[in-house]
Amino acid sequence: MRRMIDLMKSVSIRVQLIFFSVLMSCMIGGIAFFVLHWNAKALQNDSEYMNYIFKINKLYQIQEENGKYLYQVVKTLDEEAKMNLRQQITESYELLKAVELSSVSVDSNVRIRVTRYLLKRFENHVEEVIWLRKFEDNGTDQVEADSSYYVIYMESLDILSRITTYLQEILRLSVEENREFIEKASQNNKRLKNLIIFFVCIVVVASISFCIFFSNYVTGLIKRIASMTKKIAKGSEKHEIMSMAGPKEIQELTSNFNQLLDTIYELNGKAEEKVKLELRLSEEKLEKMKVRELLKESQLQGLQTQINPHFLFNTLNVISMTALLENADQAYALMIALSKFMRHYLKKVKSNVPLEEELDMISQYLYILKARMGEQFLYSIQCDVKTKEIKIPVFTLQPIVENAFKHGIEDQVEQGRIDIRIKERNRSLYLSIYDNGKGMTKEEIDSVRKKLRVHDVDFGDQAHIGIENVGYRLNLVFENRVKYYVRSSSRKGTIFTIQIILE
Amino acid sequence: MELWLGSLLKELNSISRMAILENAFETEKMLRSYSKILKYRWSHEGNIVIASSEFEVIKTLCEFYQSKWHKTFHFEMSQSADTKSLFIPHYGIMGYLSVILESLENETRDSLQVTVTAEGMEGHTVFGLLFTGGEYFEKIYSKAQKAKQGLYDSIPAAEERWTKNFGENRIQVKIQDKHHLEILFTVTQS
Repeated sequence: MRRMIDLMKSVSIRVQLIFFSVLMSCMIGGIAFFVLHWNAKALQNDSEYMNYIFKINKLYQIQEENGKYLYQVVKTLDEEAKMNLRQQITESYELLKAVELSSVSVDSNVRIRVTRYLLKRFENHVEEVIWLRKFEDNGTDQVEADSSYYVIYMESLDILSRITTYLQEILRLSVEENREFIEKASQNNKRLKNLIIFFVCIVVVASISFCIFFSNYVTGLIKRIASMTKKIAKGSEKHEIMSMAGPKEIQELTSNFNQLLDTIYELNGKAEEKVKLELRLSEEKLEKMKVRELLKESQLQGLQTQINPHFLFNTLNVISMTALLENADQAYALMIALSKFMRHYLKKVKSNVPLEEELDMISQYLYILKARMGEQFLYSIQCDVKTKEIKIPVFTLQPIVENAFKHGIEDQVEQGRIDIRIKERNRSLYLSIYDNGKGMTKEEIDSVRKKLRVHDVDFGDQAHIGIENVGYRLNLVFENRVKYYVRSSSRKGTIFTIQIILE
Repeated sequence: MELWLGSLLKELNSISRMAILENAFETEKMLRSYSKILKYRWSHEGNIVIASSEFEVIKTLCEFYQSKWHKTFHFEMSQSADTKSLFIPHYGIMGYLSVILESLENETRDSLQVTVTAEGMEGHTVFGLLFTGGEYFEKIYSKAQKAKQGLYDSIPAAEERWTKNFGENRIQVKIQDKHHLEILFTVTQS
């Protein structure tokens, strides 16, 4: 039995379902066959009895018709009525014989024999009435009450009446004789009904049980697969595979799933290696960046250490005061500008400053440049935004302005010009530096754009802040919210725009 | 030279020219002196230099401070030794001088005299810094020693450079009656 169950478990779910369906069908078929057989047997018993009753009833009807035919014969001497009457009598004999054969009790047989005797007498009386009717025929349909055939006719009716009485008696006796049978039939019907209900219940229970069992079986398999999948998905154990005994479909499913797992493990392995590699690279990159930041920081710290800002500013202040005492206004203003610029310069490169401060520094720087160049150089700063609220990395503008001055304006014969425009549009801050210098070649523009795109810049061994550094620090602070636009035209100038998307 | 210093010197030069145009000669002189000091300070850091070049800058520094303090102190230099063939640590004497002068910034500097000497004797050359005047040198030297801690041009850093190049005990500091501060730097001639 166990082997049978194991065998069943190993076959496909489809076969199992078909097998169970066939089993259920056989069970239902067997029950139906049993019920039908039982019912047929009961019906057979019933039909015999019903046939017996039917024959008696038929005899009863024939006698009633015989009376009608006899009246027609008496009245009109109708040939057809005569013939029918004779046929009815013959049929009555046959039926009576059949009833006699089916009869089981003595009382019934006695009454049947009396009925046959009365039927014989009725037949004789009929022939006599026919003969006398013919003999005493007066040519009319008028039945004469004092005629001989009428007397015989009345006797015939009396016989018929007695036949019907006997038939009723036979019927009554038959019912009495078959009371047990009728009760038994009734009981059988009840039993059959109960049996059908019982079998229906069994079939329903069996069907439900089968459905529950089968659904549990299938869902159990699915749950086991789900559980194993979940366990594998947790990844607590490396290279785990699904192993499960069960129907053919499950075997195929686990086999395919294991193939899928193999592929996943393989890809995972590759991905893990890639991630590790990327992680290591990014760590190295980060370390490199940190080192560079530290280097830059240390360079600045070194710078601050070396020049002693206090002494520097003190000295510049003394010199500027001397200039003031000597009424050298330009020299004084330049000293102040230089002092301010130096103060800004010595700030930490990593720090962010309000745009206002950056603009102040750049204005000092441009003022110094203007002092050097005289009428050869003009500059303007136009700002339409609230400069105190926006912070940008320190020294964002100066390297660009310095670049514009050195490479665009310093060497040109014509009057040079640098215009700085700060504006805010659609939640974006635009910092534009325009110069009317000699412009840049396509290669130079590409080089500048390339420098701005870098997220990892080599600062070199100098505490100098260039375009690359501006791009690096802006990218670091604003990530993907910063964009650069460089447009240049030969002998017309260059526009360098930084777009910062505000949060 | 650092780029920023190049820019700074450039700007200082621009301003000094502007000062000449505006007839601000004292300003121009200060700017020139300061530029010279800065240039010297930054051009030879960590090296050894010819003593005469250090002497030259010492003179410039003193001149600068004379301008700064409106000539409220006297300054004298005397050389009997051949400073042109002698090497000393860069900013070895300047380190002391600049810090002490800076420490005198807020003092009255009454009858202050600074004398810088270079004397050759028995196979040695002795450089001397002599400060005379007020009664504050004990305090001043103590203050100067602590000033610019960790900086290249601090007294401990200068002392370290001397020690590194010429060995221990090459510097003698003498403070007499609070009126005199004498610092002697001894270099053995090879």
